[in-house]
Amino acid sequence: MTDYLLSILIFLPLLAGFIVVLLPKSLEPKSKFIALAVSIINLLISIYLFRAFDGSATGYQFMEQKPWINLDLGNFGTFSIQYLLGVDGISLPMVLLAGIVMLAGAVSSMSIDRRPKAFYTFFLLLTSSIFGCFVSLDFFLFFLFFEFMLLPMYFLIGIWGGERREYAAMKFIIYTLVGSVFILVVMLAMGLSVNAPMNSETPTFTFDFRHLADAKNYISGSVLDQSSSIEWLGWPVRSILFILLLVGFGIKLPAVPFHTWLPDAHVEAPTSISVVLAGILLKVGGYGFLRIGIGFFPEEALNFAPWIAGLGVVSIIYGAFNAIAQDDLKKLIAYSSVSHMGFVFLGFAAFNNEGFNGAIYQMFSHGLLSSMLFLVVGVIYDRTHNRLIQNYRGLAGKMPLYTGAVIIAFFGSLGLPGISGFIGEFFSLLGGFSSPHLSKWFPSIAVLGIVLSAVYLLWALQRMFFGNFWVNRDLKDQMHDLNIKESILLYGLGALAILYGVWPALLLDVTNKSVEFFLQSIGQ
Amino acid sequence: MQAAQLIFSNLTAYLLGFALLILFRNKLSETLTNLLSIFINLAGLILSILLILGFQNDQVLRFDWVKMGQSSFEVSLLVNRLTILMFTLVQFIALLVQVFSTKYMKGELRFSNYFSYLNLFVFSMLGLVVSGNLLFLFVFWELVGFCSYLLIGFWFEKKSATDASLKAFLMNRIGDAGFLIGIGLVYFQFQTLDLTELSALNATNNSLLTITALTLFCGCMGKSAQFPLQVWLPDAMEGPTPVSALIHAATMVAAGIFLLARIDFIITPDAGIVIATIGAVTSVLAAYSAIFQFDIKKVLAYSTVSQLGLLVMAMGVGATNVAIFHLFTHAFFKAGLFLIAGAVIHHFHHKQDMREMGGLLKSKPWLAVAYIIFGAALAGLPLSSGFLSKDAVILSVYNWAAGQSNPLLMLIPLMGIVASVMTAFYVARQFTMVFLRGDDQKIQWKLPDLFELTLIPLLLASFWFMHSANPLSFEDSYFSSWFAIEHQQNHWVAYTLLAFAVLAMLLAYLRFKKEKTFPLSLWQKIGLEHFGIDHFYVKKVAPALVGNHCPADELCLEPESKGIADVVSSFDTKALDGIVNEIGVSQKNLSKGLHNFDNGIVDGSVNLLIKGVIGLGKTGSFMDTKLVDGLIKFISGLVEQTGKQLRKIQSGQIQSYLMVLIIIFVALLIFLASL
Repeated sequence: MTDYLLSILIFLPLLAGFIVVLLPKSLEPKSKFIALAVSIINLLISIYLFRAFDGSATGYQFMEQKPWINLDLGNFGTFSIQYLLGVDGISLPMVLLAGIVMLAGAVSSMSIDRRPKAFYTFFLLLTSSIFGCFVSLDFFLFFLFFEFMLLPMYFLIGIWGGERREYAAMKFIIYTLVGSVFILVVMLAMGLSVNAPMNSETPTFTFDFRHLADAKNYISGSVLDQSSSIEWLGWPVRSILFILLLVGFGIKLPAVPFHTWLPDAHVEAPTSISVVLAGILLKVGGYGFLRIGIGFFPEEALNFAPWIAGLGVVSIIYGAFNAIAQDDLKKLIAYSSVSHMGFVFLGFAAFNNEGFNGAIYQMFSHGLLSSMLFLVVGVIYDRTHNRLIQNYRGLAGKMPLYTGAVIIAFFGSLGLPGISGFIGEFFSLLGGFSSPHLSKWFPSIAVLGIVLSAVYLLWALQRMFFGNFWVNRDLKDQMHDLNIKESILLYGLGALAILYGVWPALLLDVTNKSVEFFLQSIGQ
Repeated sequence: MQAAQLIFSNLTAYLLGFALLILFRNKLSETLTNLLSIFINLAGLILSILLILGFQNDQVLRFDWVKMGQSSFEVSLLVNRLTILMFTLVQFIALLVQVFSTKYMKGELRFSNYFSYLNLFVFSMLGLVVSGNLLFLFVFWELVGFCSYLLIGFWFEKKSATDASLKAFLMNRIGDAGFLIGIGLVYFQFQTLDLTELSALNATNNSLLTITALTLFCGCMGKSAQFPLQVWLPDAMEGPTPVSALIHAATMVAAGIFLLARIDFIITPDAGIVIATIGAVTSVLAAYSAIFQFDIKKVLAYSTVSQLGLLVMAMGVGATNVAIFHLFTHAFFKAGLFLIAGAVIHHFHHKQDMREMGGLLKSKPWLAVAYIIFGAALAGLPLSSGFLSKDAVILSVYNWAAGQSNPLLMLIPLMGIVASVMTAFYVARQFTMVFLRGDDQKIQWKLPDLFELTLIPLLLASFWFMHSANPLSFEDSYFSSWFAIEHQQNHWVAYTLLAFAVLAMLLAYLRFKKEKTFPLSLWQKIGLEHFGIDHFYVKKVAPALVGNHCPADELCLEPESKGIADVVSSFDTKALDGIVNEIGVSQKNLSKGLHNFDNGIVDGSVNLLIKGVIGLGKTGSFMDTKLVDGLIKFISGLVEQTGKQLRKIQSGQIQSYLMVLIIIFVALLIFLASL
């Protein structure tokens, strides 16, 4: 049983999805409990994996390997695609995060009453592909799950979203599809360049992550051979492909200027889908860029380090300024996501332990905190269906529990020490400062992000929560405090954020060795 | 018991106190809350005294926190004399403030919240004091700022209070951003953040180190309210007065000085000159501002800024121990003055304008006596603690400047001296306005109330005998046996300063009791009284930008304001306040612009692209969804008229989508293979 835990993470939700589809009409309201149960089981498995993971070992663990598609191309060679799963210290935090966020999403979506069967089918499909993405060790498999995430997301926004849901869903899917095509090109080029080290006369083309990461396996003279001088429009092909990856995953992250899908998607998406989108989907961009972009193109990545850092810094500052300008609380938080995910690129560009660990931590922490932030918006939206900041004042007096949760989320998000956000930002910055590859200006400017994040979050806090209680007359006066479900969700996530803010070794003991190994493998 | 265990249990107690009080805020009675909170504090004070008694050598205790590659980040406790001094000082003042608060905050809504925040503050402040590396120093540094935010905005129904708390946090954040850059630069140069290891390294004096020291100093500028980040401190007086005494006079604002003392080995001579200059400028401008305040607390707030300026000045010239000495004495008498202000405000039913006060000598003679003693210490009169420490500061700065080759540096101690003389003036002014002016009754000696009783320990600590056997010589102070203070030449400077100070007090008395117009009439004629340190922020810039922003006009400055200040301030208006004071508004405009850019250009170009693509394939339909749908169509060429159909759930959809991908895949395969 424990040999197939990773497969269970993927196929359990898939199976549950089929069951939900087949549910008779009379049992339709029960579908949410199926989703909830699956989310709980997946979280438990993630926790088990996290506990059982040997943090002192390098390399992948809990591996599953099955040949999947083998194309015999005659003299040309063999094309081998495997069903290959495994996790290391880089992907495991993401698996755990997926477990936490999907459960939060499942709980917060329990109030969905429009076409629940369809909703939960898509939700479960999404769950399956998200986990699949983080545990795949074969590029083809990874890409399959990567693409497979889009479709349920498209429907979840497009059907259950707000007023402009169709526009937002379209924008989301087009943006991400463009990114996917870029990644697809790289994948194909990889598949044609890498030979699995086997004793056969003809080459075995492979998508195995482990082989892709080793420069020795690249067939000499192939497109991606490191010593090849193949150029396109005067640029080395490897550099071009790296840029494709940078843009492809940059869209997903999202990095400015590829971010404009995000505010629209968030504003239109229902609360629980916003939680999933910000909490875990964006992390696929960061994870993919680290694993594939940096892992398989180390020299190019190093050459482009200032550009990566630049994208990060611009995102941090630009996102923050935009957040300040918002009147819609949800849009404010959407832009704050852009700003905070910028630290991930900054950490990557540092090419050292502090930076990589910091970036991974930042992803994890942002997953917790942004889930919390979107749930915070959901609370208001559920009560009044209005998210404009100026319609509320002095909520603190009327809703103390809610205000307490908001304070944890906001201060965590602006990087108050003791809450997880600080650890990620601090180590990303520290990595940036201590990196020999980066000018000190990058982290120095990024530091301004912590001032700006205080501006938009605390200003919103002041406008909405302080002063004498007042709610716009048109919004009915139903501003009751958190109910049990909301309290458990918000304070549960808050407690996790504080736990990981005080005791970062919980996560870093898992990531540390893998990051070190990863850095060695890319020659740092 | 080990020092580490003492400290950990002490910190845990406060954290527990915070948690209990916040969790059971609606369940505990006021008495129970008080008892719990004060018990924790008292126990902490006893523990810290144990710590003093058991102190032998400096200790560094490290505990694993996280490891990354080769580097390890630890929780480390640095127990040395400075640590223990601050550790005790904070708890001592906190205890008195808590006792004071039991009466001051009586009947307050959110009574338990108040005490829980106080516990969190003491926890954070003690954490800051014992931290042995820059990482944890920064962690607690921020937490202290967070507590300050909560407490300034404690009455969150008042807009002025939340404005002040927001401003305080943002100003501190600006400083902290610099601090963070400094930490990054330290780590870049020395690959460690541990203070003990850093002090053992022989850092060469180069420009990067100067920059490092100055960026770290930014943290101090924020927290210790140094020019130009000082604006938040006078506003912070919106918080409850006992909080002002604890946080914004005695402890938190001194954290900046404490930080400089912790990293004094990093401060290069060049950086030192900059730091000393900023300190001197702050001290003289703030003291000047204090002279013209009418809010009883704002006088003290500016006074605090000014005194912190003196401390920073001393730190800049390398007189660390002297600065710590003055920090120590200042904490007692300034906390005392704030508590008096609290008692006065309580007496006058939350009125704070000194022009509406007077005659308090008669009805509250004990307060008057206490004020005289604290005021004497602040003004630096002989027999007081302030006399010893302030002379030490002024003399060491003076002798430093005398030893420098650049004669301009003499301006630095000169500004300090001027600030000290002005200090004497505003102390006398405040005493006259609050206690002396007004109707003549007989003095009524009553038994001191709780407010007055809490002042007694502070009073004792404001006399010379707690600090030195000889009331006139700081070199003989007990303090000097722990923190060596050098013998200073040129004692005549101190006596000259004293003479001027006494003269200034006399003038103030004449001006405000006897209604003599000199010397301020001349000042008022040319409008110089408006040249206050915050004037540009409060009076000129804010109205220019967002209409009249000064919440209580007459409390900021006198109403008839014209003259030189207008001219001078217009420069400052645009340079500083546009960015700083109205940070939200100005940034919102900038952000609006950026947002428009975001919407118009970045997003627009995407839309344009979509339109362009559609234009090629299909004309006629302009609806948004159609446009976007069209692109999908264009890309795939297979999926028919999505729109509504896409909303239907059909398994075929997924298949056709995958089909497209596979076709593209195969096409690319062929393309690449043919390369």
